[in-house]
Amino acid sequence: MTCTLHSKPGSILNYTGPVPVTGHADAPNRNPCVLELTIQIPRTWPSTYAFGPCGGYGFVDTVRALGPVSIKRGVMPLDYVGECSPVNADCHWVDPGYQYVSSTAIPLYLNPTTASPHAINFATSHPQVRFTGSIAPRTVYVGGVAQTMLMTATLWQWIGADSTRDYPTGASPCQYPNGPDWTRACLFVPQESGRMILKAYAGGKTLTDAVTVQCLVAPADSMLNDSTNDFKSREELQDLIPQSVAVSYHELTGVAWKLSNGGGFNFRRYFDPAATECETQLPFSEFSPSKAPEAGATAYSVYHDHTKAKDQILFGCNDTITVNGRPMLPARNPADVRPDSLNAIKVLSEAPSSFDLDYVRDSGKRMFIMTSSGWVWKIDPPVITGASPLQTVFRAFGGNTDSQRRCTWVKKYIP
Amino acid sequence: MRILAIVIFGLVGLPLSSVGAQNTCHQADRYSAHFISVFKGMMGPEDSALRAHFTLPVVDSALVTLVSDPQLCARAGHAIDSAAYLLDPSRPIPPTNTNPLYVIKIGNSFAVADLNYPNKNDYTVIFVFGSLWQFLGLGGA
Repeated sequence: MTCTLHSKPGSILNYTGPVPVTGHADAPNRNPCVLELTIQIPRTWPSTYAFGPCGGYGFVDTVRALGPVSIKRGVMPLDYVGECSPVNADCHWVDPGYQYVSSTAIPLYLNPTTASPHAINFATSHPQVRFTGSIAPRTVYVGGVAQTMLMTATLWQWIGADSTRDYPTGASPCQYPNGPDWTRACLFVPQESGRMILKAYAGGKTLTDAVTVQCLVAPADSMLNDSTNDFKSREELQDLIPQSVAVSYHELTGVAWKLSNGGGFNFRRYFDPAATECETQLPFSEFSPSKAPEAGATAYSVYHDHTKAKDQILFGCNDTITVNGRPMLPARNPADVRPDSLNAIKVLSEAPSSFDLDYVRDSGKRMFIMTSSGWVWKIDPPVITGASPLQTVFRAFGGNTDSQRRCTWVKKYIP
Repeated sequence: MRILAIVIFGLVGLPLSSVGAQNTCHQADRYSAHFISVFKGMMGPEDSALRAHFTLPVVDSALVTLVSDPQLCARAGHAIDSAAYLLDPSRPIPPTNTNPLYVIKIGNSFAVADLNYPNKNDYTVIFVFGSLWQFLGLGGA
């Protein structure tokens, strides 16, 4: 900030010797050299802020700046007798109003929020979970001076997965301990699977991150129980249904890749232009090593969704269905009254179809099927003709029992 | 006596044997197990509306079985062909065949699935019939 000092005509411009100042008082908690400066930072939180050291190169604060930062000069000290012309009581002044100064957001980010424990069987126990957020980098050099970076948690909010038991938590009952630091924790006792959301101020901006706590599935599956990646596979599977609805209930499909470095799983969708609400075709070439997201990754499974629930009507099945040698074309939409339409095909089951089983048999690939009513089917190879296939079903959402609801899978979080 | 026996056999067998080749019963496999599982899974109170759509009664699980009676399977072939004709009279009548059909008995009702033709849909079309082989609707499983 630059303040221009003006003098009225008649003032003594080259006054020699010390000039005692009377009537000047710095505001509390400010540096003595501030000279009644008032910093204005459009913000919502926190309510306190301060100047840095007098003569310093900069000052790091955790306030959230919502607009240009400005500084206002306060009143001038009273003139000293003899300093100015006797005909002028006030011989110096500064420009009124605010003067804008620069403020720079520091590129901090939140490390992935952690939860300990990360997996809990909420059907049987409800232990306290320690959620921890932290920022990086912890130190930034400003003008050659190392400045410790701080974060202040402004919100810890728990959102239960089944949306029936939300626990919005204020900072005080959860945050441990209070005050800014490079890492903050929250101690909380969730009663069901869900997601803890952390909002924090750091580096002059709002940062958001989240972490889930969920039940492990049994029998165990390494993809569904991948807590290292915060159960991202469950988000990917559950995301299929609303995305299918958005494209006329067409089935969506993809390949789950297991990374070789222990980094968990990676999911690659395959766009099937011929998909309908009755089928989607994932070419076997999609899980060849050449399609791997990185060298050494292996195709763990294929997955797709069944978009219509039991008792709903199927439309848009484009493939010809042959019935006792008579080809027929299923109805394409509710208004389809073609004479050759097999109208009103009611869904009797969302379970894996004959074609699904044939696909696993022919490809040798594990298959997951997400159904619109919240079941996830898993078919393990080999599928052998004449033998019962190894099928497992998990409840992702829509459970009827208390245990199922408490272990609802957590859907994708869109901040 | 021998003549009488031939006459009686002819009268009984006429409706089925006079049309030439007849559909047969498919043996039990994972597909039949799937279909049986589907209809057993429809017997809960939450599926009352779905059962009502097909006029299916609530039956004990033991009464949902795969049919192995050749005459019933031949009858099932005629029934799905009649239903298909009902849905599309313009199609030419296909030649008769001996393809095996999955015929599921649900109490006194029937469900028939034909997996003899390539079908990449996630659903097999199942014809549901009443005890007198009246067509009750189409299902996908």
